[in-house]
Amino acid sequence: MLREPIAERSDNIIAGLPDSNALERVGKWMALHDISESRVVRASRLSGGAIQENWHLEMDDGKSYVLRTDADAAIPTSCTREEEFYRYRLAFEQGARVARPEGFCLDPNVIGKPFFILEFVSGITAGHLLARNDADVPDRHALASELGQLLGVVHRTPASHARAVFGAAPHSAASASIEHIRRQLDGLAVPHPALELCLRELEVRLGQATDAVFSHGDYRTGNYMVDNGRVSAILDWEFSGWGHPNEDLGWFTAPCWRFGRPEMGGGGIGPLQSFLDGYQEATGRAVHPSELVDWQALAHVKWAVIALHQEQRHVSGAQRSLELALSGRLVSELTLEAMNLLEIR
Amino acid sequence: MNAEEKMVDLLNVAHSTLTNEVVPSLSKQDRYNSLMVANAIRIAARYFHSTQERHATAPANALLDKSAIVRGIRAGQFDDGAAMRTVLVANLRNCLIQQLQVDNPRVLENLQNSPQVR
Repeated sequence: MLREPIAERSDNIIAGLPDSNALERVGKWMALHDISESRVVRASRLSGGAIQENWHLEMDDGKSYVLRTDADAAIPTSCTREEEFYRYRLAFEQGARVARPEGFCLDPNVIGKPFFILEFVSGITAGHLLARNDADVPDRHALASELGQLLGVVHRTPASHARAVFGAAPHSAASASIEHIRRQLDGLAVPHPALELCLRELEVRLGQATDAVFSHGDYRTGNYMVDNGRVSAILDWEFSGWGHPNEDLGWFTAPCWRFGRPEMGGGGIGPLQSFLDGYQEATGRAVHPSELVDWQALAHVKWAVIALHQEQRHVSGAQRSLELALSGRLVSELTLEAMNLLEIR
Repeated sequence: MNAEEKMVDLLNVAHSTLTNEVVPSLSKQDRYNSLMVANAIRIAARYFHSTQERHATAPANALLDKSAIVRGIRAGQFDDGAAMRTVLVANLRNCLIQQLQVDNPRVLENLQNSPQVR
């Protein structure tokens, strides 16, 4: 969360890869694994979250790749880089629009920690730009529809393929998600009764929902790239896994992810109906906007709990950051909106 | 001005100087960071201001034993139709509104009158 665009360079230095020979070793490893015969001539850090480092590798044949590895900061992560690589691969094999995963390296002798290589894809990720600039999104209906279709492609993954990566589906993905959020609330020092009341309401309303599909888990504006008005790649698959399909739909369309465009129910970048029409094209499933309201409330609760943990990361001293500290100031708005969506008045 | 009012005033003038005299000349990244600083200053100023206003009355939070309430919520004691739900909801919304007056009062009016389906 709170990631900056992955495709925007923050600097041009090599600091961070462990030593000056690391690029040569990466190049040799890529050659050994038939990814590229070329030499790595330059590595520049791409801006990203606190959990991962992304490096733009420029080869002497003019091609580019992305090297993705753990950040040095000791922050608990949702999955290992190896698990994440196999999630990228599953998505890619199902035809999802994702950067091609080229190979995974567990050998600590290359850069000192596990990493994987992705095809380099360019585009704009910044939500506030995509929501505001019509030059970047000339046809908002088309982009919203495409985003719905692309999510549908992920959701229609055969269960047997998802099982191979994630194991058996939970009896109720919705209940599992609610229980996960509850455990996260238990990890905080202070109780949050308003969030708990929303979560209990969601448990009563959604707890019996048994659908489960391969879900992205963080599908929202800011986590895909747009190039020439079209989606060039869906990013950040680390939270993917079994999920109720409406959880992704609710997360994408929730009021909290509209980047100052509340009237654009399709992630702030286009109309909600266009997004849902695109989803229906890919899945055959018609979703009415009213079906998503509870799931949007779940999105608000989930984001509020993440924000509390981000604030806690700052307060505890694990990672001092004004941005993380300010995350805590989002919680009252997110919670009140969740109560409104659930009609808890 | 008493001592607390002077502190609020200090934060307000710091915010005003930052946003009016410093931010306009900054680069994109410095501007982003400075606007976060300005936001933090405003939140702190509103917090002190609201604390001053509430000195005479007990904060709504103090009326709640939050841990006991959370246990009750999880056990279904405040589910729809339960006798104590209305009181709890009113209290929780009141706390959130007070907090939002500090965190982001601009959105408060919208959220207090928010339609359901969006």
